[in-house]
Amino acid sequence: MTPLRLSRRSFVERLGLGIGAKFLAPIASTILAEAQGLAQVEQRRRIGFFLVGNAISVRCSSFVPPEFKSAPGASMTSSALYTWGAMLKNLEPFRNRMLLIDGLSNTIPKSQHSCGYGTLSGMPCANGSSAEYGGPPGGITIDQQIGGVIGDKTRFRALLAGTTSPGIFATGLERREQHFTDVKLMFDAVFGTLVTDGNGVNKGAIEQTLVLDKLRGDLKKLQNAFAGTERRKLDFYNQALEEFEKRQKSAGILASCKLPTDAPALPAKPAPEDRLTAMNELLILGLACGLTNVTALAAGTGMSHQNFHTYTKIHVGTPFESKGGVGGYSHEGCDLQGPAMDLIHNFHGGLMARMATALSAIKEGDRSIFDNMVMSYLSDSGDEHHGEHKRFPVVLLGTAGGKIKADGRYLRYPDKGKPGARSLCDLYCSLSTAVGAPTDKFGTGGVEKVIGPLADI
Amino acid sequence: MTPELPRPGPAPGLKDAFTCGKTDTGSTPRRLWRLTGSQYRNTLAVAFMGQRHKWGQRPPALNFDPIVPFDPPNSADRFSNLAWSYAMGDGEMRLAIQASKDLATRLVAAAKADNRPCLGKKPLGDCVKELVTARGAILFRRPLTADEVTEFVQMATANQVMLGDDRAVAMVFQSLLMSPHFLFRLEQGSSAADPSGATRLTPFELASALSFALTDFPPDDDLWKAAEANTLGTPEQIRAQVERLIGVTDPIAAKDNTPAFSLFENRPINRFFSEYVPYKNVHQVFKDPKYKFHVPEKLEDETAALVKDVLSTNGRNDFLKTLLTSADGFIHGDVLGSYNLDKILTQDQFCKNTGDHNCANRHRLTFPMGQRAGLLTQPAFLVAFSKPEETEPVQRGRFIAESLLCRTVPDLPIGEVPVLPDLGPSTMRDRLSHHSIEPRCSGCHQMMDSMGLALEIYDHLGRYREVESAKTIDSAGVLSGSENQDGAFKNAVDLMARLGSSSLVSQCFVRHSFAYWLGRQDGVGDGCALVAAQAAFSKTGDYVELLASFFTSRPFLYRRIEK
Repeated sequence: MTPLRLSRRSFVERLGLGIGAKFLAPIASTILAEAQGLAQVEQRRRIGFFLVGNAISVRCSSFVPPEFKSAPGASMTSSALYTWGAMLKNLEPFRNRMLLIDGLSNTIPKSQHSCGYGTLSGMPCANGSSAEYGGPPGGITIDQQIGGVIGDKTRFRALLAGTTSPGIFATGLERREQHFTDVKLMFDAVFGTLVTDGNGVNKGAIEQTLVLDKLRGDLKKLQNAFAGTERRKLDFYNQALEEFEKRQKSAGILASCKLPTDAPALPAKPAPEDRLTAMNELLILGLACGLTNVTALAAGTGMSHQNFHTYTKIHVGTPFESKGGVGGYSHEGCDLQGPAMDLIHNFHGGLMARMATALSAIKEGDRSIFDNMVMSYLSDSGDEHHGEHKRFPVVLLGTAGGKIKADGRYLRYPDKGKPGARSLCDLYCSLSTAVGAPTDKFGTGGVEKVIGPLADI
Repeated sequence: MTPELPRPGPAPGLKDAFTCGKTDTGSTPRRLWRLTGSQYRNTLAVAFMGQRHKWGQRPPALNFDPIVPFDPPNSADRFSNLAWSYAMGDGEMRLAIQASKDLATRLVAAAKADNRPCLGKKPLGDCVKELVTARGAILFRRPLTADEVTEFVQMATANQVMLGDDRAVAMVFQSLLMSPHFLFRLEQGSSAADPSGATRLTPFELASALSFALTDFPPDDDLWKAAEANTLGTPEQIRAQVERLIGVTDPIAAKDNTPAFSLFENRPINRFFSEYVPYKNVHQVFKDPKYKFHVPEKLEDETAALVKDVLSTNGRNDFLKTLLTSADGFIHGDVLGSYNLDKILTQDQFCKNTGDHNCANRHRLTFPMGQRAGLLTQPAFLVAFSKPEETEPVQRGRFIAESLLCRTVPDLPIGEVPVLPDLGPSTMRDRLSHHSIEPRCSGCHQMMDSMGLALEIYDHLGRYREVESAKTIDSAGVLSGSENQDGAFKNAVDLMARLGSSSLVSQCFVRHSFAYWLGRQDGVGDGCALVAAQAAFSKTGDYVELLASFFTSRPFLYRRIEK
C-alpha cells in the first residue's frame, strides 16, 4: 500500500475534531517525519483494540447495511457491494481492508448493561460485581492474552488507555490491568525514561535507576528476616524488579522512531475527544517505536450509562449542537439515537483511520506497519443499550499480514443458540492466531461452545 | 500479576482445632502482608493530609483518583484478606512504579502547600529530614530509623544539582512509596523471644495490625501515641483500642459531639459477613429479564441491611442465633416479588404503609410466620446458590455443611459431570433421590442434600413457595452432627432454628472468624486461642467479646520464624 502523507489540515479533517487536534501537531509530525521508509528487517505483527461503551446498536446505528436489515440470523457473507454506513464514514478509505462482523454472542450472566471485563475476557463478571459498573474481570482479557505472547520482548506487553477509570482490561481473574486515563501520566510512563533534555541528560532514567537501586537495597536488607512463603514474596518482588529493569534495558526501540520530547499539549480543560485523540497518538507512537505490539483504547466504557454525556466537541456544527450534545439518547427512539451513535462511532472510526494512516506511512521491510496489523472496534455491551449480548457488531480493520481476510465483507452469524452460531471467543481466537499467538481456546463462550478461529475470516 | 504462592496446607479437623494444651504457645509465622487496595489508598490519604487522623471523625480522603496497583482484592479463598496470597508480582510492580511516580509529584505539591513549607525555605537536607520524618512515618506506620532518614537525605542532596530540589524530593517520595516498608505490613516481632521462640509484635506493628484489621486505615493519632508510650501491652489496653476502633466506645465523639461510629457501620466487619455468606454472588446468576422484580443490586442491599440491623440490635447478645433466625427483612417496594409478597401486598400499599410516598427506600418488614428465618433465607443468598431457572439444593446444602458445620465436602472428581434425571413434572427432591440410592454418591450427599432440600421452600429467585410442579414440597429432614441440636426439622425455618442454637455452628463461626481477623486459617498451636474465643462468644453471644478475644490472643500478638 502506498504510504499516505497527511498534511496537518487533512489530519484534522480526518479526525473531524476541529480545534482539538491542533494541540497534537508535534506528535503527529513526529510520526509523519519518519514516514520515509527506514526499513526494518523484522516484521512484527501488531493488534489494536478499540472498545466503546454503551453498545453499537444493531437497531439504531448504521452498522448493519440497509440491504441486510431484514436478513435472518443465518450465516452469510456478502460482497463489498452494500451501502456504507454513516458511522463508518471516516473508515471508508480502508473499506477494502475491513470486515463487518455481526451476530457473535458473548457470555454475560445478566442482560441489560455492559459487563466491562466480561466482553474482552469472554467470561462473565467476577464475584459479586455489578454489571452496572463494568465489573471486575471474569478472566484474562484478550489484549493481555495476546500481549503475553507477542509482547514478550517489548517494553509494554500491551499499552492501554481510556477516558474512564473503571478497569476494562485484566491480566486474570479479578486482576485489573491499569490503563492510562491521564495523557501526561501516560506520556511519562511510556516515554519518560527514554527522552533526554537539551544537554543530552536522561533525567527520567537516572531518577528511576536511583529509586530502583534504593528499593533493591531495602529488599536485600529484609530478606534474612523472613522464611518460607514470606521470603518468597520478597523474592517475587525482587524478580519483578529485575524483570522490569530487564524489559526497560533490553527492549529495543525501532530505528524508525523519533522519540517525542514532551507530552501532547492539551487545552487547560481537555474534552474527552482531546484526550482520546492524544492517547491515540501516543499509542501510535508506542506501536511505531516498537515499545509495544498491542494497544487498546477504551471510550465510554465501564459504566452502564456513560452515554458520552461528556463529549463536547463532535456535535459542534451538527443538529445535536442545539440539543446539548450527543449523549443521553440511549433510551430514545432511533430517530435521535441512531444519528447520535453514528456521530460517536464515526469519531472513533476517525481515530482508527488516523492510526491506520500513520502506520501505513512507516515501512517495515517491504510492507508497512499497518500491513502487519489488525484493529478491532467493538462495544463492551451487546447489540443495544439494554441488550442481551447475543449479537455483537464488530469492525475489523487490517489483515495482520494477510492472516485476516479483511476484504470489505459483511458477515452475519446466526443468532445465539441457533445452529452455526458462534461467540466472540472464537473471534478472539482468530485475532490471536492471526497475530502470532495461535489458540483455539479463550474464555467460556456461554451458550456457544468455544470452537476456535472463525473459518470465514 | 501476583505470582503463584504455595497454598497453606489443609486445616485440622474441628475437634483438633479446638484443643488447647497445658501451655498456650500459639503464634503466627513472621509475615509480609501486602496492603490491599483500600489500605493503600487510605494510607495515602493520611500521608497527603500530612498528619495522623483521628478515628471517629470524618476519615481523610484524597481529592484525586490515584492509581491503585492492587484493586480489586484477591479472592482465591473464602476471605479476600488472607495474608498468604498478598504479594508483589510483575503487574503490581509496574503499576506501583507508575503510581509512585505520579504520587511523588503530588506529594511535593502537597508539601509545598503546607502551612509552614520547608521546600525552598530551608536547606534541602533539613527539609527532606523533616518530610520523611513526618510523612515517611505515616507511610511506614512507624518512625523511621536515623539510618533511614540519613539515606533519604543523602539521596536527595547528592542529586540536587542535577535534578533540582523538587525532583530530588519527588525521588525520595517515590522511594518511600515503592519501599516494602510501605507496600507491605511487616510483622517481624521484637528482638526478644519467649521460651517458645516467638516474639511479640512491636508496639507500632501491633498498632498497624489493629488499625488495618478494624478500620482499613493506618494507625490513627490515638493508636500512634499508645504505641509511642508503649501502652498496648496489656489485654485491657488492647481491648480498649478494639472497642474504640469498632465504635463501641468513642472518646472523641464523647468530647466533641461528633457522631460516633457504630459497630454496624464498620466496613471490615460488614465485609466479613459478605464474604462468609457470599450473598453478593446474587449478581453472578443470570435471570431472565422477564422477572422484572429481580433486581440483584437491591437484593444485595437488603441482605446487607439485615446484617447491619442484627449487628445493631443483637451485636452484644445472641448475635449468631439472631442472624440465622431473624424473621425480619428490609425490602424495597419494587422487589416484593422476590419474596412472593406481591401476592398479598402491592407496591403501592407497601410504600403507603411505610410512609414512603416516593417508594424509593427499603423498609423493615416482618415476614409472615414460618416463611423466612435469617441470612440464609434471604433472596440474595438463595439466588447466589441457584441456576438461571432452577434451584441448587446441593450447593445450598454444601454451603451449610462447610460454612456452618465445618464439614469437609470433597470436590467432584475431574471429568464427573452430574446430570439430574429428567423425570417430567417432579420436585427437586424426586430428582435428587438417586443420590441416596447410588453408593458412590451417598457418602458426600448425605452431608448436604437434606439441608439444601429444606431450602426448597424458596425457588430459584428466592420466592417462598409450598408447591413445585403441582406437588407439595417436602422440605423436612434430619439434622445430625450439630452436637446439641440434632433431630428432625420440618422446613428451612425449623432448620435455621436448630442451626442458630447449635454449639457446633457457633464453634464453626468462630473458626471462620479467626481466619478473617487474623488473616490466615488456624493451625497447630491455635487451639487455645480458638477455645478462648469460643468461650468468650458463647457466654452471651456477644460479637464484641469474640473480636476482643481474637485481638488479645497470642496468635494475633506473637510471631515466630518459620523454618
